[in-house]
Amino acid sequence: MQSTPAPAATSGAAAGYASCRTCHATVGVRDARARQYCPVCHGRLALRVPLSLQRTWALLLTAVICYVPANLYPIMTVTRLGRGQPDTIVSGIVHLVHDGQWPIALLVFFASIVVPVAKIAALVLLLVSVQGRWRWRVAERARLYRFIDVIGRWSMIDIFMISILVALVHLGAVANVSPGLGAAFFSAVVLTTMLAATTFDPRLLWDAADDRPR
Amino acid sequence: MAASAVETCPECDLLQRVPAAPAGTDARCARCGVALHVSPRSDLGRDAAWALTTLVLLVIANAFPILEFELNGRREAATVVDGVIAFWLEQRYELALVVLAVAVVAPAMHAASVLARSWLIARRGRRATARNWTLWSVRLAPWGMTEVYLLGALVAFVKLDDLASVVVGPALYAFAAMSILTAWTSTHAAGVWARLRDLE
Repeated sequence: MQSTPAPAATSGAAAGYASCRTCHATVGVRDARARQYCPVCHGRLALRVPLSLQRTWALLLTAVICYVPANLYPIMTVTRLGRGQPDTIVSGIVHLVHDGQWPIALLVFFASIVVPVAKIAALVLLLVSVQGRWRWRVAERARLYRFIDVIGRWSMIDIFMISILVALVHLGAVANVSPGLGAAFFSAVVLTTMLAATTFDPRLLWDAADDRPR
Repeated sequence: MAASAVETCPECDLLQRVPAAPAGTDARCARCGVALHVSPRSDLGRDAAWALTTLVLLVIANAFPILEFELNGRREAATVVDGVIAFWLEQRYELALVVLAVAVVAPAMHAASVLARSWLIARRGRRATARNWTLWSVRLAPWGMTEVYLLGALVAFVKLDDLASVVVGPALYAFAAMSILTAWTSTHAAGVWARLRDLE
């Protein structure tokens, strides 16, 4: 079922209504500069997420910086019969392919490489499109935002896998798995991109397309 | 709530009149098409049942091993917390804390807060207390990653399979059950806020 827009398509912000970020209640705002709290959930009300673009850029930049050591340092070292073999994210996937584990290799490839890269690229595109006041394909960009907000968590697969292997395989020189610095940086990438997606306010996409002042 | 309330879309902020949607359906935003979740009240009994079952499954998921393996006559087993401790002992403290937070603490606190909010709203308890539990349940929801942990355990299983004979432990089944249960019953928080408004 479709709802009907107000006679002239206006944003809630322009008409003096704030949509609560926590409970989605629509609340009339008397003075945009005064502190006001949501009557339902008592969260702080704002017409738009404060400093959304700046905070998203900062978190995204942190993610990009962490992404480099996450891929250069090994995420874990597997020792078998005294011979240690450090694995980066990429070499771990290559080993799975060599072992003929195609479905799992694809799963890890998507979770550890495609998802983080796509998420960072998509957030950069969204930020640039807001700042450039793009009118191009707003609905599609809004859908892209919802999509990256959902998929981000799946990148944690590798971290959980390492956690189990390290706990399970500790037979000294016979077989041993130890975590690497790359894993720590990689989890930082996952967490900062998750936070970046949360601080990005998708309503800015529509504001930019309407070309109304924020 | 009125049959035709004025609402703003949480995703695009379009101001619109939202008609009362028939049961089991959701009104959609006229501009961006996102579900507006205006009318339905959440089923408190169902939420409580989900939370209780999840708490029981979490006990199983933490008390039993996820994977067990045997190599040269030595048998090893690991639980979720063993994974946390192993990171800690290897001085990867940040990873230990991250895994503990998203695989153990957040899922448990989320389920506990859903149970508490359902109980308090159904019993018409103090509104402020009910609101605080609801806030916690909504804020914790994205940080519980049991379904992601399940896939991580499956990848670990495959990685170990060529090294030794690996057996799936009871905890892995508990994680699978939790993931299926959540996929089935996950409800939008809007229904809970509507319930909370009724407490006025």
